[in-house]
Amino acid sequence: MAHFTLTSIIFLPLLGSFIILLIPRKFEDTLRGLSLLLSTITFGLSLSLWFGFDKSNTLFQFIERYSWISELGIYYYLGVDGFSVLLVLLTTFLTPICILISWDTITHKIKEYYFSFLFLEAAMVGVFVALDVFLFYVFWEAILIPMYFLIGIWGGKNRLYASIKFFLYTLVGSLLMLIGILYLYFQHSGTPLTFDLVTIIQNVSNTPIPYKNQIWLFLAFAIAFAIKVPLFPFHTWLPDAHTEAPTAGSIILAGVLLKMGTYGFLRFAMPLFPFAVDFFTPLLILLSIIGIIYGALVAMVQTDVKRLVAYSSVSHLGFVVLGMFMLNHQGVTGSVLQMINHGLSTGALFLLVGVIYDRRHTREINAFGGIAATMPVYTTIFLIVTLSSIGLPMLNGFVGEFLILLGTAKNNWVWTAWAATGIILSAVYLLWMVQRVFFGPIVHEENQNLTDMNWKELAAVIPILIVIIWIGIYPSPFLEMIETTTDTFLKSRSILTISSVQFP
Amino acid sequence: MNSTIDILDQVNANLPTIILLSFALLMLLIDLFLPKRNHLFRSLLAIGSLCIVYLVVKLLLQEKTVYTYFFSLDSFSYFFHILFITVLVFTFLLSGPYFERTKIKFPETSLLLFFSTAGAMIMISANDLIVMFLGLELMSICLYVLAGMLRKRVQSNEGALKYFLLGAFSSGFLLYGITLFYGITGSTNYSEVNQWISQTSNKLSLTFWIGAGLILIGFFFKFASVPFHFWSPDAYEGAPTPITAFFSATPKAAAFGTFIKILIVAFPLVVSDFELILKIIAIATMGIGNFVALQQKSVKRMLAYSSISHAGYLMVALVVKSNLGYSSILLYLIVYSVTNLGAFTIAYLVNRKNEGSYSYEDYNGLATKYPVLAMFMALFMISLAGIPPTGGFFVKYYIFYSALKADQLLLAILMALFSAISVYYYLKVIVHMYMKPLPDSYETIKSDTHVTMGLIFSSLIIIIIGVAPSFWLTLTNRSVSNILINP
Repeated sequence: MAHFTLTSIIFLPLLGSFIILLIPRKFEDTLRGLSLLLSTITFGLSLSLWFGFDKSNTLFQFIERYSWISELGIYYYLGVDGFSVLLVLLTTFLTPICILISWDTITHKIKEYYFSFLFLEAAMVGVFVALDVFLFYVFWEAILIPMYFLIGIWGGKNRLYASIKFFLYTLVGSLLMLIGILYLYFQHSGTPLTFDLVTIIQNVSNTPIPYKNQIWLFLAFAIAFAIKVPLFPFHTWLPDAHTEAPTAGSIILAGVLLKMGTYGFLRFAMPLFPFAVDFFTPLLILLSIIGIIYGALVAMVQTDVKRLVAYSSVSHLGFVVLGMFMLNHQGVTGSVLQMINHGLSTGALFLLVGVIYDRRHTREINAFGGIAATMPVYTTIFLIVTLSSIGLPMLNGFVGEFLILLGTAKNNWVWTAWAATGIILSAVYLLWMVQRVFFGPIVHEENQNLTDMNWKELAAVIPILIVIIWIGIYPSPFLEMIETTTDTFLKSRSILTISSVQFP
Repeated sequence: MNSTIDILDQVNANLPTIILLSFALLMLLIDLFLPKRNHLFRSLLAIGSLCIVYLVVKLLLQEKTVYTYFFSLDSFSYFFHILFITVLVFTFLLSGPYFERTKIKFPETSLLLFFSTAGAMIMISANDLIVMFLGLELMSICLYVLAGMLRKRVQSNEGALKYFLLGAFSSGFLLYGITLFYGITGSTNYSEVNQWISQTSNKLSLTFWIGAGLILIGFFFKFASVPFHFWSPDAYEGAPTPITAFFSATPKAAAFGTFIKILIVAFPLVVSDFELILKIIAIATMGIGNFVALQQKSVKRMLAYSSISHAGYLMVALVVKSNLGYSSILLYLIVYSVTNLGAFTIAYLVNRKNEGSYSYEDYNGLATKYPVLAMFMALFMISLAGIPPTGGFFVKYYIFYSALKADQLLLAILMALFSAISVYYYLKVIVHMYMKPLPDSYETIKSDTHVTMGLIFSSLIIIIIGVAPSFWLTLTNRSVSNILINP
């Protein structure tokens, strides 16, 4: 049966972005309203994934497969499984929120702004649903341009430096991945040559890729993904990009773009190169633990709230990578859930930091203090989100981090201890920041007359809050979506590992 | 071999060129009766006649193939003929405001453009080194004059003189190589050279290699590949900008096309001996082109150096020495020509104060004042940088593809790294357009509907090749694999 659910989720925003281009720029509110409407409809469409997703199905669902460039074996091949379906939903969920929060803050080049945003949404969804390696690469690269514009045009003072750094960093990684993709295609995609991921995975599980090739190919893919995650020591672009990006850009960057890296590991690097994964697992675990602790320690000494949240991302993404390389049920499931959690919590944190920045035009922790008295609603919401980011039980962060730590504990207690340190440190830096910003006496005159959140800001943040609490209290619907795919993923790996015994 | 010259066949094989030339002469005649300053009508006339040539090629000849001793008209020549005509149409479409502004004489310029296009067409359809050389000279001599069209500007004169002197040298090399070839093989016909090589394989004399080397050097000059690139930045900078755009399209395409044809028809047996030298030069060209482009302060010069680096990428595909590699060159040439034509057009539109500065600062705030123009430029830059979903990405990818298929891993990796570097200077233009504030004094940009149309067409081509390359792949593959080889 032919259905176009995924195609419509990609092409509605894409089409929308071109409609935006056709509307004269003097109709500012029409531009804003239309892009909000389009992204909301897109979210509505993607809900059919939530309801139509078969939780017991081990294969890809909502498949669409057409020949695209037949000469080169390239397909327009889309589909979702438990790993990607929630990420698609996260993308379509966060985009309308980002558009809403930009309503008043983005005042120049509005047309370009909403064009970039809708284009970005289309490409992000594309990354998560593409099952053809070439198609995936096209979407992966297409993200760079709108994101570059978002940082570079609507960003802060140092935006040019940050945007170029972001662009070049990711581009170098992905070009190496392109070569890896092509090498994989020529050497190991079977006959006839194809970019179809499902076929390639089948082929490499029948005739495994030689050990040495796996090492190199894994490196080519993993560096691109590690830069995106970002894994220590490839993280240096992230604080700059986050700090300089506009609020909505940071939300989308933290919420979705970083997940492209972790998703890439799960979807491509790990199933394709199982032996290399075994080889590199200790290194990757080490790097992720360093990332967890280093990110937390650096976050602690930040004076800029946004930069602090950015470093906390490095720390949290360390957990995600740690969980997936535990290669057991709890670790991988927790890791996928934690991707969603981080997207929600950190997205909300960036949103809230944006709210205060719009009022005071500074993010220095010293410039605040005692604003709980003037902005009670804001303070409450900020506290809830912070606690979710720390991993307080009954909020979403706890579920993911707990599962990851459980998975880690199954393999190694020492790693678990180090990783748990990260959680403690996160409580330290986040709560310390909350204390300095919200409580105590008001020292600065400007903070006396701050207005609390307006309805647009509330409308943007409350949906996130609802999901945060939902996942915290009743995570089963989410976990069930992930678990079947986790099992399939681990089973196919164990078959491969057994066959590796016979492999010379 | 069969060297009886059938005049009719000979004419048939050159029909597109002959029609083009007759239109050029006709236009010169009509010009006498036209009022002095009427660019619009003249360029419309030129475009109209080119469209007729195009229709003749497409409909009347209907891909009919003719093979004679001196010329062949096959799908390969058709491909390039149509490419050249398209480039010329674009040149006329896009250059209106420039001629208006600089008061360059339009009739002479258009005649020279027609003639050099005819030369390029002869080059491509030639089956004989001497005939090829005649086409090359017809093309080059027109180009030397075109480069110096801005007679009152020192840079233009300098560029033209440099171009002429170095070009003459390279022609000398080429001709000397051809002479040596004639001396040892007894022929200058591609197929006969090939036959001679196949008979004397393994015992090829030093003279042969010197001859081949000289021919290669002649072509390297035309590619503007390192270390034979010194003429190109100055010639590019000095020439009137629409002509620079033409420089980066037709002569480059003609040189690469002819070289491919010679490799396929005359040197299929020795082509692997050229691999090392092609490889070294490809790496040097990519490297120098990109690194020097990084440091340019003028957008026009940046585009000139970037065109050197693009020649390097094309040479990577030459190293692959398979039909796949050659067809990737053909596809690259389409996208690259169209993109460059657009980019140079916007460069001259934006640079309206003093001819010749072309600084990045001129672009400050362009997106605020002229968002559509800025968007076109952004698209061209993104395409040149090779980022999806533009055609620039697909063609670059296709070269990677062919390089890796031929196990040229090192070249592919270097090309990837160099093109990552190139992104920096292309993005710099975008940075100035979108991220720098608008200066206080801002002169208006004078454009016209032709230019807008041309820009829309070129953007469409770029996007279509990026999104749906299937048709174009088939086209280029067929063009390369159907080169007529002495049937």
